[in-house]
Formats: sequence, C-alpha cells, structure tokens
Amino acid sequence: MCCCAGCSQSFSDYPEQDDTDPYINGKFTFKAATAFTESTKLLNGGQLKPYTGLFTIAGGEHIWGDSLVMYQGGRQYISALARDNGTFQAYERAAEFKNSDLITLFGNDYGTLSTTGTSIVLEGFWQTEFDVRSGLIRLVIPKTANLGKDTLHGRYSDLARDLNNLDRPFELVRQRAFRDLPATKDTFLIVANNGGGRNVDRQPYPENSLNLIRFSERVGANGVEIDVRLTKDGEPMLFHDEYMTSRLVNGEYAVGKFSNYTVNQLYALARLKDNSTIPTLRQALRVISDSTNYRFVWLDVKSSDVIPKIMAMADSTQNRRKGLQIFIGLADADIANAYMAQPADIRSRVQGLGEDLDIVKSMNLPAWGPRWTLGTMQQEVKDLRSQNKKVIFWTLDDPDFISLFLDERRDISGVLTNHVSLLAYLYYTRL
Amino acid sequence: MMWVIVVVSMLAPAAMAQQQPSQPSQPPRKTLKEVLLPDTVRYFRIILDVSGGLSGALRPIDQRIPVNEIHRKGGLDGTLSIRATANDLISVGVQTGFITLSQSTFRDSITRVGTRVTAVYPAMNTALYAIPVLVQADIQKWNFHLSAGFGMYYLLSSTQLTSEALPQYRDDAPTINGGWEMGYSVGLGYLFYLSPNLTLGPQAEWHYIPDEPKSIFLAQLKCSYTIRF
Repeated sequence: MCCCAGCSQSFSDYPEQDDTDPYINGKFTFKAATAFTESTKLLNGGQLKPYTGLFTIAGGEHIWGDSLVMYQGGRQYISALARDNGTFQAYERAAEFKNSDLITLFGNDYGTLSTTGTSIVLEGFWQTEFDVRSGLIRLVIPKTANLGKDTLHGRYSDLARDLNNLDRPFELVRQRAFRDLPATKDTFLIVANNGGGRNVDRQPYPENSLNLIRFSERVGANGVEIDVRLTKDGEPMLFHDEYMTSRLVNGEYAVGKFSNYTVNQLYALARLKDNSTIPTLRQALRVISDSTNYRFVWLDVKSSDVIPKIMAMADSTQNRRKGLQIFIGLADADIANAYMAQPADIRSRVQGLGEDLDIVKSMNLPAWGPRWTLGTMQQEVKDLRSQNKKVIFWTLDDPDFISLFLDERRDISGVLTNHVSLLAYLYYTRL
Repeated sequence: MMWVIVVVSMLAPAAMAQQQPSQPSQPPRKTLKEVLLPDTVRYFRIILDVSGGLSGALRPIDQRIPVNEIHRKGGLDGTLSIRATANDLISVGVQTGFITLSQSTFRDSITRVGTRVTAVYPAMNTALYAIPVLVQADIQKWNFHLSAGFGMYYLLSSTQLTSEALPQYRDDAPTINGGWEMGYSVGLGYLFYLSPNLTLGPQAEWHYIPDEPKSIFLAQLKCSYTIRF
C-alpha cells in the first residue's frame, strides 16, 4: 500500500481506519487486576472447544437468566450466550495460569483452587442488548474440574457502577456438552442482519461495519447479511439507507443521497458511528473469506445496477474459501431481472435468493427469503425444502417468535436476525 | 398603548358622526382613526419581510481531526417571508431563504503505523447550507414581534477534495448534494417604524433540524413592508 504523492490507489486499497472510537473499543479494556501480561500465551478457539455446552447459572447475582450457552465462534474466541435481556459474554482472551498465582492475585474470589494445579482464565466483556448494560467479566475453569459436576466461578463488573471492579460473583455448572454437529450443506444458518444488527440494536459496533461482521461470528452467527449500494463512481459499498443520515454516519457535510457521492468523497466526508470508514464490498468480502468461518453470505442489493458490479467479486470470493456460499438477494422484480440478465455460468456459481415466492418459482432460484410476518408458511416451506432449496426467514428478533419458528419449522434452513446471540442461544438450547 | 388606540378608534366614528353630520355634496371624509392611526386599521394586509445577517452554530461541529482543520461555524444568511394578516396581532405566511450552517477547510492528514497507512483524512473545502421552506406565524405586540416556523429544510452540501499529497483525493469542481429534512424555528425582534408601512429592526432567529441534528442562530436586520388592501 502506498499513500505518497503521485501514486494511484485502487478502491480495495483504502485503509480500514484503525483509529476508531476509543469509547467503543476502549470501553472493554481490562484495567482491573489481571493475570494476563503482554507475554501471556493465549489459547485459541480450538483449545477452548471442550468447554462449550449448555451451562446452568447456579448462583450469584446476575441479570442473564438461568442458563448460558458457551459457544466457540470464530477462530480464536469463546462466548457465552443467554436469553434474558439479549445477553452475551464475549471472552476476548484465554490462557492457562498456575493456581498459586491466581490465589495470590485474587484470593478465594473464584472458589477454592488447589494450590498445585492450573486453571484456564477467560476475560472479556458482557453486554445486554435490550437494556444496554455492560461490563467486564472473568471466568476461571480449573483444569481438574469435572465440568458436569463442579461449579465454575466467575465475576463481573457493571459499567453503571464501576467498570474495573469485578465485584459481582456468578457460578456455572455444565448441564451437557453439545452434540458435535458436522458443518454440512444443511447446517442451520444463524444469519446476522446488516452484519449483526441495526444501530438501534446497540451492538458493540455499527451496522454494516467490518468490525461487526467479525464480531457477529463470535456470538453465534454462521452467516451474514450485508447491504450493498453503488457510489456515484460505481463502487459497491456497504450501506443500508438511501440517504446519508445521522442514524448511520458521522459527518457534518454528509447529506443527501448516498449514490450522489464518489467513493473518495465518502471516504473523506463520512464515518460510521465508531469512526470507522464505510467499507467497500471488496473489503467486506475479503474479511469474510479470510478472517471468518462464515458459511453463508446474503448480499442485499439495493438497486438493480448493483448486480453487474458484484457478480464477479462474489464469485472470486467464493473461490477463496471452500464452503463459503454467497447469495445475491433479489428483493424485487427489477433486481431479479438484472440478475437473470447475467451469464448463466456465473449465475450457476453465484446464486440468487428471492424474497418473493413467485420469483423464486418462476426463476427456479435455489433459495427463498420470506418475511417472518407471513407466518410459518408450512406448505410452501415443505415444498421448497423437498426440492432441496434453502428457506431463510427474515428478520426475527423476538425470543417468543424465534422459539415458535424453531419449534414449528424444524425444516427451515435458517433465520435472519438482529440479535444473533439470542437466536444462537435459542437454537443451541434445542440441540 | 395599543389598547388605548384600539378603544379610541372604536369610539371615534360615533363621536364624529354626532359632531360632523355628513354632507352628500362633499367627498367622504376620512375617519379619525384613518387620519391618525393608519397602521392599526383592520384592513387585510400583506407583509413582505427581507432579512439578512450572520449565522452561527450553537453546537459542536462534527469534527474529523480537530488539529487539522479550520472551522468557521457559520456565515451569511438571508431570509424572505410573506405574511398575511387581517388584524393587528397575528400574521401567518411562509418563509424561505439561505442559511450558512457551517463551513470547514481540512488539511491533509495521513496516519501511519510504521510504514502501514492506518488512516487517511484528505484535504477538502466543505460547506453546508440550509434552504428553509417554513410556514411561519408572527405575533406583534407593541414594537416587539415573536415568530415561530415549522416545515422543511433543504440541506445543501458543497464538497471539493483538494488534497495535495494524494492526487486521487482532488476534485476539479465542488460537488453539490442535498436532501430534505423537517425542522422548526423561533424568532424575536423589535421594529422601528420608518413610515406607517415600512419598518426596520433587529431580530434573532434560531433554526433547528432535529433529525440531523443541526441548529443555527441567526442575528439579522429585518426590513418589512406592508401592503394594504
């Protein structure tokens, strides 16, 4: 990458903007006493997988409900998902420490540890999406623990009181491990809307941002939906609304239609709510293919002129990682016709997902995305599933309705949601 | 004072009728209130207002990197309104105009960590204007007037990238973009009568566009002309 005078820079070379809002990214920095140092050797996601499963919250003060799903998402993270208040606990780092060191540091705050053994310590942050509470969290798992019997001890802080004081205890006991589900073509899809939720859903990062795309996988998503619009100079970028609004961007001078701006002007004028740049589709697809394990991508194109610009990009992205499927969302007849005007060979690789059942049938599309308010659509779903087509309902956010769909329509391929951790919790507690 | 004038003007015709009986051979004589107080007669009137002055933001401007920009939070403004009234107190009409909301000049800024570029803020000249199209009501009492407006604002931004270091961030001409937003205004002013139909005076207006949110304070000199029917 070059940014000196006289060079030319292509769209895909834009820096992602590392100087994002320190409030968002610094809020969860551990300033409380910790055993971690810069030289601590961290455990990866695979090493933490044995500690996943369904846990009962056995004690302590908390607002998260009575159970947690401990989930290993992404390549290096483990998270705990709960039902009440749309809670997730995102553990950002994990490492093994000597119990003697932990006792010196924390005393008996994390149960009675054997002085000779070692324990895994997980640290991160927790957040409730519905009532916007958050804080730091730490969980200690003795290496000798019998997960089905022994109580695990953790503590957390509450930002509303004192972020760096982990004064609230909680206790976990594992009920059961999850069945080890093979990732197959029919893996149930937990699809993150707008990359993981709208701005109003109070996710840790703004909608349609690279950071949120990365984060959603950690709290349960295995698919992602992102919105694509064209700039004035024809670059596909991630942006939901037709107009630049303070809902989506910071930028005194960013007003009017998104499509009236060139990508350079957008880069200069507007930032997402965490001060990151509006990502190009090229950047987003690179993150998805190279930095995540997402299996499914739904490109929600906002106008028909987007289609010719993204087909080759989607095709090459699918080739970068095996198992990644990118679908073009066809929300109306104009967009569907623009898609059908593309060469058949590329359509066979980059497939369409119709939102209208008539379009799905008439164009023989392999996937249907019905609005959930249409109901569970029992016969229609059964017909399409018997033809091996995907059916992904959108956008389900209410825990009762999610439960209804999961219980009544066990044959659906997936659900699109703004509350990924909640959907993942409800899905995994049914396994 | 106003009420005294109104009472006098109501009593005057009866008094004059007793004192000066009409004479059919002469042209109709003006009533006392028409002679003395022409601007308080309850005729239908159209009032044209022309105002101009300076605007200033009462809000922090959304800054990218404060160390590298020059801000002027406001600028010039001018508004026009046309109001109709049939009494001495309230007039209703529409207002439009041109308000400078903010202007900024940014210089180039490139952040690097080692050789890696982590952030680019290219130089540019930008300005944001508002064109109000408001329904406005105005209440006048003594020489003070209070106004309130509600309606739409067309926000107009002008952007020209001017980077010296990064040629790809350089525009040949400013780009204009815009969109409509709802908003409202309130104002307070004082009138000096230059003639029965012409007034001049200072006024202050505050305009607010909540969805953005953007607010601006106007300090203006307002000239009003009244046409009577």
